Amino acid sequence: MAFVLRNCAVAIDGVLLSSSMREVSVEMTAADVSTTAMGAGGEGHLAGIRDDSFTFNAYSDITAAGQLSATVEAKFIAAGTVEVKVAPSGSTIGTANPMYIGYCPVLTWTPIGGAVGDAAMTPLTLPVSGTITKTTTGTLP
Amino acid sequence: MSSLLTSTFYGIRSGIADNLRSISGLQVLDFVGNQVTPPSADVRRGPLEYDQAMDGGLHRPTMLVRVYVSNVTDQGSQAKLDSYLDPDGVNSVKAAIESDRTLGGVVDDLHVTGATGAQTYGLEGQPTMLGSEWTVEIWL
Repeated sequence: MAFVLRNCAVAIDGVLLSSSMREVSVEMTAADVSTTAMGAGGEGHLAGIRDDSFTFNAYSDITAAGQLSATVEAKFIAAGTVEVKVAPSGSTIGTANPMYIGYCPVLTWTPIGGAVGDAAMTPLTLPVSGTITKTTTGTLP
Repeated sequence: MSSLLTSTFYGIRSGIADNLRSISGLQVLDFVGNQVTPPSADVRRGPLEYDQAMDGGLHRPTMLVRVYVSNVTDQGSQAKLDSYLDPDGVNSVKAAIESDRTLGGVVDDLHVTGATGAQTYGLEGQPTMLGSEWTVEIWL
């Protein structure tokens, strides 16, 4: 059933950051391994190694009290890993609102982005070490 | 979480009006008045964009500032409107509004993004007025 994405819950390292998020994307991708043999009439495909990621576009929050900066920037500087949890409709997890979890190194950090007159944004792509897991139990953040 | 309380908008109106009072000779009202005595300005609500971040984290209100200068064909009034439309200078409406971008801490930021340029406004019981309307984006 269609629904409007307006209350997507996002937590990074146990900090609820939903109210800073303008765009949220959970991406699960597998490499496309060719199994095409000689004489084949078309390409053969096999799902290879997964390459999952979370992508966010957040309002920039670079003040000392900024939760996004405080949570992610320090991990980037320390070359650390963050736990990411995303649920499509609020923080009460269940069959109608599953949670996606991944553990991600912070490989890029863009504290400010945008053109003159725009809201300053922080685009954030977090590649997952391993794969994203989906669960209908647990808590967020 | 972004607040759209009525009391917040009292603060926004009065903050914008206070900033505009730095323009010499311009009468400023926090709300739309029933009698216009030019040159004068009032502060009114503009369009509102809800749910610009997840979980009600950001709503984007816009305020409008309308300035009336006088009757339509008076050259002095047109020149005065030119000075109000300047992006900076002592009569600049944009510069005056942006002189305190947090309105004393009521908002996170504001930005005067544009003005309509010279417009004519029909007012009940009064002559048609020359003026302009400025758009003020508010970040709460």
